[in-house]
Amino acid sequence: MIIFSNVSKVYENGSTALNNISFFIERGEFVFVVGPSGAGKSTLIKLLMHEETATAGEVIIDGVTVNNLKQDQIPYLRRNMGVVFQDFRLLPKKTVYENVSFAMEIVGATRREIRRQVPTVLSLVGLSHKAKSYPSQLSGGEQQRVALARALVNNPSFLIADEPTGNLNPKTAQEIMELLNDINKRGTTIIMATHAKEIVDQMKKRVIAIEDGEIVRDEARGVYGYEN
Amino acid sequence: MKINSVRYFMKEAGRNVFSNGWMSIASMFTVVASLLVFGIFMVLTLNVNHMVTKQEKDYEITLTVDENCTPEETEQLGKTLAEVPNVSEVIFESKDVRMEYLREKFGEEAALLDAYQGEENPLRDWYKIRCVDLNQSEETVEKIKEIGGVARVISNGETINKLTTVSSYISQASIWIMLALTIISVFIIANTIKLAVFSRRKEINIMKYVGATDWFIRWPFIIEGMIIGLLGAIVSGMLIALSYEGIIGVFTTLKIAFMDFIPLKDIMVYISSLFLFMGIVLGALGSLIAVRKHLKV
Repeated sequence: MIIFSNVSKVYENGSTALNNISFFIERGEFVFVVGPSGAGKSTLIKLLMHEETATAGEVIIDGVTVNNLKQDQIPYLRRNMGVVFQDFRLLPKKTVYENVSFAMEIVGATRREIRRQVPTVLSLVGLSHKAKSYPSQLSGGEQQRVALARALVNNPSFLIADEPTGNLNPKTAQEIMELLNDINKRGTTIIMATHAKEIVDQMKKRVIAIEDGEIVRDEARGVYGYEN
Repeated sequence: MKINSVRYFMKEAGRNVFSNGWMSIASMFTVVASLLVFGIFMVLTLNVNHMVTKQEKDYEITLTVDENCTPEETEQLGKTLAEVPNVSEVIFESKDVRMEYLREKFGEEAALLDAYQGEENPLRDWYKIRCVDLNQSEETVEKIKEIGGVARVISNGETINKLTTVSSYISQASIWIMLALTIISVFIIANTIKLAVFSRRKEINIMKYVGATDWFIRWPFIIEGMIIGLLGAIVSGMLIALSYEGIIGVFTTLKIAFMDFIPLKDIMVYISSLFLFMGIVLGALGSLIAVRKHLKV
């Protein structure tokens, strides 16, 4: 469970990115975070990842208050969170298989665990047949699937997606969303920041709308609510 | 540290060394340069100290007996010498015995000395004296000079003093040159590692997101530095080994009296372990600096 309790974030240059926001996300939820550019979506994601720390309030993830987490504890927090980005962030010189196994090597998995887990997660995202390809040989949708496989390979409780469909055409975006929905059904909590109106409206999931650093709307089966 | 991780670190470090090939080679050669200078000075100091020790072991005061002395007076002189403080041993060599030694040294050309036999022998009788305490040898020399019937006193104290001075100059110079070169090579390694960090910042970023610990990210870079240092140590060690024999050879043919060298084998025992240690430490130090400064994890 994720709890934001009266969280504010003021950057060093004085700009307020988040102003006293509170919400909680249950295990297994699928949540869209929407809002105009610069509203504070990215800051919210960064607070979750502990890339930034809140200047006021508390961020509690699975019972751990992450604000005052020690530097050496942050990696362990992140191991429980998969993350995908708009620009995929794959390593171009590694194959699909290596891009995924890399995430397991980093957490010190044995070779046996890697040999078992990587094919499983690649088949989950439907890329078993591309294991030996390089990212440059893949379409955008396929690259995002690899990124998803990498995010999921260590079995995180949360999946954080920052505009995951931003670089994809509508059809491919649709496929990625179906995949995310499947992943969610398997029990992974998903938090997705997005600008994609059609997707949000169609999925009918919980929507948290942020404007000027404040939550203006939090609906259980929400819609995007902005004109693009 | 897990075995899997160690394997991963080695693999990554090795790949870094290769993918930054030219920079790795350049920084390796700065390590080679500083270790070479260090090695040269070390070899010099070790050899000079070796010569000093040998000279000290062979230390003796030689005094020639005045030619006007009668055999009785010469014998009496021997007794007097034995009573001088700090003298442990007095050996007498008559001029005839010395001529025999000389003939032996001349070997096949001994005939050249035929004209100097018997009454014509230009050599003088002499006494060789060994000391109990070398530190007090100069006082002993002074005392011997005051005894009547002594024509000339020669000791190798002078040689020892000169060698000791040379040795201390070498040590002083080497400390400063070493220090300068060490600092240079540490910073060049740091720069190489910095480039390695920059070229992999995308990967580092992803590693952070996936939950790699700080040290997990740092280790490959530190090992990369250590590999560079290690290679530098091996190359410079080999260069020293190869050139040492040749240089000794040249000096040995010159046959300078007090020159006596340590065998290559003994030198390499010192050099190899010290070089490996220093190379690895230099490399690790360089990468630590780079990692601390450029790898904000």
